[in-house]
Amino acid sequence: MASKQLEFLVTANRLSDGQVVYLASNERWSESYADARATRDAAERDRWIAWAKTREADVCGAYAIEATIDANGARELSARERLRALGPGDARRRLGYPA
Amino acid sequence: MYVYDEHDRRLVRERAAQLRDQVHRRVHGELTEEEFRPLRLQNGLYLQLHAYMLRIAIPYGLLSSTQLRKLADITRRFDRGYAHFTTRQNLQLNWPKLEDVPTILDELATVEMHAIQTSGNCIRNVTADPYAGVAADEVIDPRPYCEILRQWSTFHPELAALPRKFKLALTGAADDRAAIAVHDIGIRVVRNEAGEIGFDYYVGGGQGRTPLLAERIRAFVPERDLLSYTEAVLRVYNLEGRRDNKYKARIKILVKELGIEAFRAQVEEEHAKIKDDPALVLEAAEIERVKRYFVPPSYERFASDGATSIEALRLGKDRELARWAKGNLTAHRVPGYAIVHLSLKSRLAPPGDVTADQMDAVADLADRFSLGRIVVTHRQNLVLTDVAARDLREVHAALAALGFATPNVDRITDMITCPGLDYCDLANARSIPIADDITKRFDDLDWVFDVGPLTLNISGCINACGHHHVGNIGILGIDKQGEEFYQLMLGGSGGQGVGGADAALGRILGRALSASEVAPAIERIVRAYVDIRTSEDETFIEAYHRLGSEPFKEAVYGALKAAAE
Repeated sequence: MASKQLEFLVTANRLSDGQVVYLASNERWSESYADARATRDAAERDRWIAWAKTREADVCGAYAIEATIDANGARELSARERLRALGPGDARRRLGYPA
Repeated sequence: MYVYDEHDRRLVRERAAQLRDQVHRRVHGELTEEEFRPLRLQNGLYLQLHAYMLRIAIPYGLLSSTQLRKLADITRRFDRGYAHFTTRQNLQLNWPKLEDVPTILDELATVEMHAIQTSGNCIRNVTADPYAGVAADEVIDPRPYCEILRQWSTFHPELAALPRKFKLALTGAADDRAAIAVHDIGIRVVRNEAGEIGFDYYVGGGQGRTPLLAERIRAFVPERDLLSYTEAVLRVYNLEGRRDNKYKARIKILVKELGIEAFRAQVEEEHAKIKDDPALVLEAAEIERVKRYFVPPSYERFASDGATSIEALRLGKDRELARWAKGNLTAHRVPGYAIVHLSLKSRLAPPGDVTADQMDAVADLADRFSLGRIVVTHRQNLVLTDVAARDLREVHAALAALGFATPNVDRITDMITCPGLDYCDLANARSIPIADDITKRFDDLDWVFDVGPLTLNISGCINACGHHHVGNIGILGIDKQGEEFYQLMLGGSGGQGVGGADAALGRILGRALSASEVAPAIERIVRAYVDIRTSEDETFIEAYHRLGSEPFKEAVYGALKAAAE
């Protein structure tokens, strides 16, 4: 069986409020998962992480997400990363509790 | 309650100022995250999955109405209008901005509150029986001793870098409502045959990855030796506890590896050296000084003892009121009064969550009906400790309007639930949606009542903030190849407070379940219990002890197997 294709994204939390951010194009951080830049090259991933570590004035805890690519080419995230990608909504809103 | 002196006030003001400077330096690049992290953690400031989280200390769960209003004000101004009560009787803000946190600490300081030692490898918030001072079954009020321990442990230089975090719980009652058996140190305040006060002293309990029940180290530590004995325990732990492996660093591992006899011998040897140290001897005058802050208030004397009117509510035609009076009221030691539970477990919010408006309303109720005091329970509810029986109908109406009158205290829907993967950086799985599913499935209050006392505790990971090991039913969220799964455990008990069982650790029932399988499985377990109990008087945990796990295993996995075939 062929091994699953991997794709890497770089994520962190914004220093000012902890908001989840993703490394997007043009060396900028985006709140949107849709903007996340992806690579299948481990060396490029490491360069991105090294760069992210120099941006401590903006973000903290940068790390690489390892996503698998399914047979249809769709990216599969872990439950944790799916929840992070949902953005700053929270359980109260998702479950429809009164505000 | 305790009132800060000038030293306390200076400490919390200075701490807020220090954090303001540290935040400024972090934001301006003078501190790296690695340098800043331990500083923010010393003030209970975590970085969670989506945001910062600030954990505010509520010593032994006791709040004044003024403090609760301040928490409401902070929640409204600096967060999203709601906050979360925890199993350490603390309050967590889920969305503070980094630069607001020093101002929040300043605001807390104005009402004698702080976030010191709510994180890190130090002595955490001391917890206690939520009925302390008012319980009918109480022998000694533990709160003065909690306060003495709080003062002793705050900024204690020798205890600032323990091998791991350290938690104490105290009770002074016959029933253990503080879960002392699953704490690093658990203390029952007692009297000996001569009438002297002392401490039935336990060490080495805890949950997490390696759950263990605490063992008795001494049946009677004299009152004067509370601090010296506790310091001796901490010294042995500080010297001998493992620092090479975070997962083996808690005192419970040390006690288990040494054995209680050898651990006791070391503690006694250390204690012999320090027990007469004037700095550690608890003089009668100091005890009396602290006790003065906890003198019982002037209760009204009523012509009736209140039992008649409480019983009338329980037997009355108003079914909602009757169920509430049966389920959410507890006997008070003073005739004519009742202890009123506010259930924070309903379909209106995640377990333990309270909005700023609700906090204000509860503070108003406390002022009108309960001597201005509110207590947070380790089961994530609130308690009004001193409500006159004549006011109960009015208090019920007010609580019902707030959504806090669900008559489910210590019933299956009164779930302890950690924030889980919706908020927590450590979690493997979500807890709140599981609690929501179960709440919806058990929405027939008559049935919930008929099922009787049954604790259900949910943790989103092995750290066990949701106390899953000591729930009659425990649910543990696990990660299986990046997906959320849940292990069920049965037979746990936090103590003698619910269902008449001693403290016990639950045992895993079988293979882990997917999220959608959990609530149906819980229903099958409960239906199996109802079918096999000898009478309505046999609680779930008693039935489990009588029959073991097999009937419940068959109920859960038999049904899954049948569905798969």
